Amino acid sequence: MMKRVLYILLGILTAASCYRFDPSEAYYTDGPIWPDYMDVTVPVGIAPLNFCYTAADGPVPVTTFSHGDMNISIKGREVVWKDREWKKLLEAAKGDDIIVKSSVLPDPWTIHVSEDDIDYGINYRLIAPGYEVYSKMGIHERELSSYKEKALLENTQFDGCVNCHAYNRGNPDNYSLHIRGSHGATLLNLDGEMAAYNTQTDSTLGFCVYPYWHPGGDYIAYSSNSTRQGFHVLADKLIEVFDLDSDLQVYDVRNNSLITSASVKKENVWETFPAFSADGRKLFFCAATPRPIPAEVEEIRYNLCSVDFDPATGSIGSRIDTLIFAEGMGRSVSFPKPSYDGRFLVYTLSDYGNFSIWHHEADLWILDLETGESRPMDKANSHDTESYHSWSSNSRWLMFSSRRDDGLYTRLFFTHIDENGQESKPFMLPQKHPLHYYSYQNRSYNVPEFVTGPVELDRAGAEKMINSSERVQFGFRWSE
Amino acid sequence: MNRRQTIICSAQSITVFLLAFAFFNFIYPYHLHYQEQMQLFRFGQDYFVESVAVPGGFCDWIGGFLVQFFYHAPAGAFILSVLLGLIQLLTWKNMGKGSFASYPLSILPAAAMFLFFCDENALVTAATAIIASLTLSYALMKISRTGLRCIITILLMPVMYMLFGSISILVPLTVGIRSIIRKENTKTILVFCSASFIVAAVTLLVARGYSPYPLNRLAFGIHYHRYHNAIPLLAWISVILVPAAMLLATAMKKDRMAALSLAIAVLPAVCLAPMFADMEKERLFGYDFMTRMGQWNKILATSDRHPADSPIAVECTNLALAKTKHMSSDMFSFFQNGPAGLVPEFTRDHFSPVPTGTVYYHLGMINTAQTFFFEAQEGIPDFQKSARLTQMLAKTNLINGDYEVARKYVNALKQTVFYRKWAKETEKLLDDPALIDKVPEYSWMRSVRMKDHDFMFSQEEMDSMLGLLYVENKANVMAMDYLLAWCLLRKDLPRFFECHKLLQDGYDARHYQEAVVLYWALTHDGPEGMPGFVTRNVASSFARFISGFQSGRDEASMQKEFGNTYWFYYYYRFK
Repeated sequence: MMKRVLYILLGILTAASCYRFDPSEAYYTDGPIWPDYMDVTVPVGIAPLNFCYTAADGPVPVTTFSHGDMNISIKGREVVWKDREWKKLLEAAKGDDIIVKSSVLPDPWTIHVSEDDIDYGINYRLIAPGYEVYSKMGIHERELSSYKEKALLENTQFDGCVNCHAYNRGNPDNYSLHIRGSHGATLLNLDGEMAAYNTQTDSTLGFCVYPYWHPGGDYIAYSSNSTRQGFHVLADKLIEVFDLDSDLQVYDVRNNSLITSASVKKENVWETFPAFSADGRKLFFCAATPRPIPAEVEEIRYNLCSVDFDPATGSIGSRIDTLIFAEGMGRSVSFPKPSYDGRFLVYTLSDYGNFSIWHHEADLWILDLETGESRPMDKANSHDTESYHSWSSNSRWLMFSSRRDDGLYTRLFFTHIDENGQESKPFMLPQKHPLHYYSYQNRSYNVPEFVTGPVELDRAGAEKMINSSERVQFGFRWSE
Repeated sequence: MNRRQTIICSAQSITVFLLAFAFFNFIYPYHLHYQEQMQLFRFGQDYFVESVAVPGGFCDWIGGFLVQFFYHAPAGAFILSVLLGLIQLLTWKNMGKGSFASYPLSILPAAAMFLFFCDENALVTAATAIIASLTLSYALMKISRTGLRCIITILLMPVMYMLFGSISILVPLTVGIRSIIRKENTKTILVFCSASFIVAAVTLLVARGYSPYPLNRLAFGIHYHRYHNAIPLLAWISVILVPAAMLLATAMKKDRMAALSLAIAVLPAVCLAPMFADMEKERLFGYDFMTRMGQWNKILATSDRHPADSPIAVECTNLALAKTKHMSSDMFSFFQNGPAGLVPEFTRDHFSPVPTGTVYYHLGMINTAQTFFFEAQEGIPDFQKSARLTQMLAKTNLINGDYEVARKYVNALKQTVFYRKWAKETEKLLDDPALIDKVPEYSWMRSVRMKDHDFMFSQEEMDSMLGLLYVENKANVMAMDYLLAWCLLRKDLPRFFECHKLLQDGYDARHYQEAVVLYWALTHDGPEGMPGFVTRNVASSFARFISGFQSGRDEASMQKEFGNTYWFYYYYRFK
């Protein structure tokens, strides 16, 4: 009797816990394979691009990957690579195309293997695409050459929300991490030393958010935003996130002093999303003329601007230059991110406002900083939202978030940018069983950032720091 | 024990089981429904791996597996009773060769767990962890060689911690106590106790290194209570009562002590049960459940029997009134707490937004309903998802035309036991969206939802939103009922009159007549020109009310005669 009960229990356990590929899980049905890895460009150090066929019926496909005299065939509706074979093929095809043929599809396709390397990994926040309340969330790290993912910090350790995180050109030793909630703090890790800061001062608008490191590592640009949410009632729109006010400031890391100037703290301008230029002598940001909220929320339009910055003194210039007059186009700029080689700047363009993730029309645009020409990144964009983006440390890969698959759950994509600023068709962050993984992943990828090595975050130490009330107070000074 | 004593002991176990079943099934069924909707148990590798990756995750997975059956309260009551029965039985087994008199002591841990489960946020995981631990310690005691048993126990401790959570400390505790009772080698037991302590501490520290939880949660259990800041005290008392019962049993050898033993085991639970059982919450969960199931008449009958005076109960009662088309005629026959009784403001918790979201859903405010459902789900304190709310989110996304998102939720529900059928049927709609409009619920929701006017939801502008809903679809009578009720509950008679004036015939229900006659009396010198739909009965009743009010009749007598009128609410309630 006991044995029988045990067998039944084991049977239930096995049935309940095993994985099997189920094409009916597919809710992305455009195209014959998913994720769409046809004609994409990938770096050598990327994890296997496993995919599945979206057609549940018909003969079982055989997919053959060829380069030179290497031919690897994989049978099945789900194409799952052996890690070693994938790496061998990519190494062999570096700088060349892999030809892919399928027994069930008429035309072959290619996977171009770029000669440009990609960084070690990426960091992102995983959070449900919700409104005000948040469930489990945290900052996670994913190794790009494998499927390994680990949580760096999660809100299971404290009451609060882990928020904006930023690294200096992907350097895992220097980062800024913001915690919201009753234990609010900004954790700054400077060359392995971590401390919790109170970034709000009497002279600034509020807590420091949207960090961006100065290339020299001595400054971090922040904005302070008085952010609110509103909820639409029509079917095609859900949420509107907007600022009631915002200013910019630069934190002097060595002297613990927040610096601002009248030029970026104007009463009649909302300034946000600061980003230093590659040489560290300019500060790009978005600026809009305030409008009554919520009546004219759809009239708020941010332009792309810049102001001089002197790294020697930390002083912010007085003249504001407008680089993209989006207002004139009836559009709005957010998330300006210059490439680290100083050639390009990628930004998000939407119809209005600055919280582009909730705008289905939001697309990525690229600005050539030498010629001043700006154009949409058509190969990277889709019919749905493209929003936050980040450059790899060698400025050859751009990672961005997109809602192209279902319109709500944000996923990560990578596109190669060549020396002329031309993007390639993007590929989705690979997973071992992508269809299953993304079907049941109920959180969005948020604020993705490249890292050049694993982040060594002392989780217990950070937890202790966050849960304690001790905070180092940011100082303040006006720009000279 | 002789045959008679064995029968008495069995009768005690059966009684424990039956009492627990009767309590949960007949007195506390809505708590079980509440438990069920606080999780989304899925059959699948990812869910299993995610569950077992944290300490105690395996027992949590088993607990989740069991709680899904709480969808049907009798099944939930049966499962809880079986769990309590197993705790009692396994405690008895671990007591060794206990005497007849000591048998009732084995009820003690189960009694504590019974009280524990009176808390709606107590998780079944705690019971499964105790059962698993007691089973293992019982098996370990079968090893006759003390040293070997101790070594195996110590080696198993980290594994047990990973599978059962911190309650697994019960295993070395039980094994140690049993060895002491058996008077086995004292030195070995001492070494065993010290080693157990060290291994437990090291296990905790190791877990601290890889698990993203604070030390107190790793020590007191991650999955034993829904609120992570709450220490599941009764579950731990239950754990402590196991060795306590084992030790006490050694002193209860004589048969005549059976009564004393029974009293020790049962009386505290019986006396404490009324303190621990929260019948107010049970009523609230009842209202929520009936709202979920659309049992509108049952809600009204319940409110009739036991006046609904909590915000959620009032909200559900008003929704039931609207759904049965009695709002305009019977609303003030029930307790009203102002406009918050119609649609309360959003609060950041995991329960109260659910009935409010349901009200918005029925009104056709699909986005707002979706917000409330999503937020409630995100607010579940132990970071679970909710099968019920996932289903509602699938519905709102389907109505909104966001089919891919709806399919994602449907896919998750396909991996459940009780929502699978619904998910499969909904999947067909998603495969062929033309079929959606053939489903009355969805086609109605699509017809009454806002289509032309976009604005930001604002609780302060509820009247404008309800008005626009009605303007966009005149068939949405519920929106107009809510708009008029909103004005009445706010005592905003000019706005009520303004809205009411715009309506065609058919809005002459009793409360509207009462409001019109009151408004007329407050703003005019005489009845001349008063809308003709006010009946003579209402007018004369109002005259009596005003006369009584002006002559200073006491409130109780006014309530007796006019308690179900708008006038009484206007002058005596929600001041």
